[in-house]
Amino acid sequence: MATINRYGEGDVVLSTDKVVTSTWSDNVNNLTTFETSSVQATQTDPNSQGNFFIEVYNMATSSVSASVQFSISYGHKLGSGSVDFTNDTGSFGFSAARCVYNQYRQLVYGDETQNFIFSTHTPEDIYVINVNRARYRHNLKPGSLNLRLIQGNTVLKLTDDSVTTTGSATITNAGRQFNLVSGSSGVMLGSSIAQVGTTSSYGLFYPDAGLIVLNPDAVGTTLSNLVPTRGNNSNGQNIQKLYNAIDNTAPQFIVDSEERISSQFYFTRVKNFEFNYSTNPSFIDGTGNLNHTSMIDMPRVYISTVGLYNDNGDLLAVAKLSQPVAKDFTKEALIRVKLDY
Amino acid sequence: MGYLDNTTITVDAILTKAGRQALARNDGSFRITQFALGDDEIDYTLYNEDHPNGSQFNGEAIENMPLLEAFPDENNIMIHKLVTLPRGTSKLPVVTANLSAVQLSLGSTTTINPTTLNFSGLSNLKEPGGYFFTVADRRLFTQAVGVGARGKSRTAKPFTQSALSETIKGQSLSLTAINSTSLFGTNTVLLTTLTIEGVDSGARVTIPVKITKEVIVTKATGETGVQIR
Repeated sequence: MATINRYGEGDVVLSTDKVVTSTWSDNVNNLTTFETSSVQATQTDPNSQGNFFIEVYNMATSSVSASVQFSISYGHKLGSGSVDFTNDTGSFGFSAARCVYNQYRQLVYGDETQNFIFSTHTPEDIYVINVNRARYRHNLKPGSLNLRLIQGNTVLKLTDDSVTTTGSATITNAGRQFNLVSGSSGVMLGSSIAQVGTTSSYGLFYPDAGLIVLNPDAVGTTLSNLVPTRGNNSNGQNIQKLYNAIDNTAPQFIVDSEERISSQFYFTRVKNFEFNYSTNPSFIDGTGNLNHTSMIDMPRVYISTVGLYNDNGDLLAVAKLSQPVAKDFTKEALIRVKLDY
Repeated sequence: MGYLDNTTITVDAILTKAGRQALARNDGSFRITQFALGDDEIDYTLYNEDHPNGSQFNGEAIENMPLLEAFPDENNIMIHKLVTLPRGTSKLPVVTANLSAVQLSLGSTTTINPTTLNFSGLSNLKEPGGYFFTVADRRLFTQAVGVGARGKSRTAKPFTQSALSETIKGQSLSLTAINSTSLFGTNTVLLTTLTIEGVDSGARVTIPVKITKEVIVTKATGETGVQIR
């Protein structure tokens, strides 16, 4: 008499699969609406959140369904382009822009003296697009990026060079690093990563950290509305410049995300002589007699549920079948139970 | 000649509340080693022995029934288990307890003694493997001790805001109610259930448990106890 069986050797199998989905909320492939919160975008004080970053939503923030898709930011290694926290001798240049630059520099290089280098060009500052972690799951998918920036009729279509470039990506503290180039879906237009002059790429793409770092000198050459205002101790509204350059007329911001899902498969094998009776109260009467006399010789039960237990008998997981499966002394069943982590 | 059916039924499992907690505890208790089968939702009165198309169609109504999704409360699923018994068995085990309902005042203790009818063809025997005692809300008890062979006391677990079940194994169960009133709020009683399941037979019975908000205070003057309700 038994109600519980042990899984044998080979009955439990672990499998890890990579799942690719669209990054934006509701599995939207191309994000076409870019909204900000007017409260957050306020830059009245030097330490206002809007001086550090602005969050971009998929719909007006008045909607309960609005959720942050990505954040945009501007950093300058000397603190130009935003107001000093304390504008006095000894603290000149300590501003939001400097905080942002140093923060991302630490994240990518782990070195407080290393500046961002694009091809061989080292600008003073950076624009950053930081995809919300909840959106990109484990990492953004290299080769899927399509970002469209505009100024009037001038359009700049950006992608990463992961498809064009052969060999491994550069590995940084923030994971893999690819160049941001003119092109689409990972394929670069032309043959040189140095997209501007002979020295400069448009930016860097860090899919494992969900980061896109733009080179203002390069994107500013193509789209002059992206040339930062770099005055000392003055609010250059540079984050707003990037926000305005993200195309709202024929919008395109596509990037897929990847997730590795580990599944445990439990092969639940039920032999012909097992589990042919039920403790279901409709199967027996109050004293334990079978309700159906035909079942005395050939009991028939219906499996609807599989319970998974530990050694203590705790019910840890449960699976339901879509339809009842008949079981009697002439039938065996193999039920593959999948548990995702 | 047709094709043989070589399909495997594949189903997705979900974690129960107890499973999530075991996973969070990270103490090795989340290790699936066993399975049981249940027939929750199946009503065998739908099994029609008088079906006009013959005995092959007796289970027609049941077999065409769509089933509901699994829900994560381990107290409300896998209630009716399938059991392995020799062919020709005509009487199935039934668990009965010495109490039809449990009522405890604050801090008081009672013992629940189950037996199994029709176990190994005999009446009212203790199952050798003991019983699983599952209290639906373990916050309501300061002690729950499985007594007898293979009995186990409850293990110390962190307090939870919401009701969480706990299973204790033993031949009988000694249950002591909480002795504080903090969980009562404005209520005078707290209700939960105790489910007793035979380890060997799988038969189960659920009995209601009521904890009353009664505090017995003994004054230093030597007066008899005063009940505050």
